[in-house]
Amino acid sequence: MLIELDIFSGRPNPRWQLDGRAEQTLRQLHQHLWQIRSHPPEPPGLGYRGFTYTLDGTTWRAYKGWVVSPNQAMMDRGHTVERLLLEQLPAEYTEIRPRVLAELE
Amino acid sequence: MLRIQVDMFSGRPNPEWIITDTDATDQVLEWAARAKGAIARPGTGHLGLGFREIRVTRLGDDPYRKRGVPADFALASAAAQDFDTSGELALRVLETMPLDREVRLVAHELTPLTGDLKILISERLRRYLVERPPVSIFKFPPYNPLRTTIKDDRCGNCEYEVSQFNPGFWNVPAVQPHNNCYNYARNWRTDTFAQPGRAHGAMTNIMACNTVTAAAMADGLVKRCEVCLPISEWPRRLMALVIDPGTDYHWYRHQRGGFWGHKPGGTAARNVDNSGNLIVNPETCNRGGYTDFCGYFYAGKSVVIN
Repeated sequence: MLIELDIFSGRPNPRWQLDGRAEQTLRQLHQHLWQIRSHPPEPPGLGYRGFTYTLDGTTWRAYKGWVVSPNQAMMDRGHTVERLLLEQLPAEYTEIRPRVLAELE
Repeated sequence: MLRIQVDMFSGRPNPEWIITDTDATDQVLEWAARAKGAIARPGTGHLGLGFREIRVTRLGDDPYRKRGVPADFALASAAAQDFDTSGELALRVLETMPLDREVRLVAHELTPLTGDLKILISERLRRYLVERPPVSIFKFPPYNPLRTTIKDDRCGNCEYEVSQFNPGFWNVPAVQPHNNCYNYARNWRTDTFAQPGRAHGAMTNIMACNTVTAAAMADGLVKRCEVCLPISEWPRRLMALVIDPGTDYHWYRHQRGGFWGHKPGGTAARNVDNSGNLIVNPETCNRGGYTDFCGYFYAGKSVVIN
């Protein structure tokens, strides 16, 4: 599964393949999210805009405790999806990890 | 470092190379400094088909004039006051063309620097110097109600074009993910997520004002008010560069109506900042982590990005 951290403007965003184990964890986390009829926050233009990935044909964006597709919005109060994906961030992007972490706190 | 471009082709990329050797760079600038009448403003001589001029561009982010020589100039230009000397210098500069490429440029894919090409350039240049075509009269661009030429309020003698904010062009699935802030600010959809300097072998991985500025200037951008772009560079854009230190860069483009447009990465083009306010000043708008304001640049039609 391809993950993209949507954060840059000029440079290409970090993209990487999630390993099978992490993908399984991500699927389990999705099962524990609950749908909610509320408006999720809009990502800003510049800066951290969340993680995007495609699960079973649906593209999701995990941002600030929400996991959103074009048709659904789910609450993720503990930022579990974002934290999981941040842990999987490739080592070459270590310098941006604290910045994303700060957005989750 | 100097970029040398032989302006002679119409469809193929022009032959070009980079002089990286300091002594060779100084030598070319010395020739130009000693023969002031031999250099001309690029794009002001013969603009028709065939050999037109040899363009010399300094790639360093240093002051505009060095020993009285501008950062960009043309040799063998029909607009040169001393055409004969200009042609002689052009022949000397042609001798710097490397056949084993030290710096590989995108243009070399379609126009490799071969011995045959060097002979062709030499023949065309010598014939051109004998024939001496007239200076082309540039026709003023057609009236376009969506694009206006304005005088730069920071330096009254410079002009550039502002166009209607048109996010619909960029915010469609076939375009939006493949074009970034640099594409938007230059107003050129390349679908390559263009990087400053990449088209000219001068890309940088160091995210700082001086490095990204140098990379963009290798693409042909010039600093605002230090150089005025001629009307032959129409349409000319005003761009602003900001940096998230050590992390990323970002560009804005001045639009018709007095505000600025931008396109953060693969997201939608917009004219508001991180607070949702219309951007009337890129120096003071909410730019998130892009805290360093680097400056303004003009980008004329000859600026090539990739």
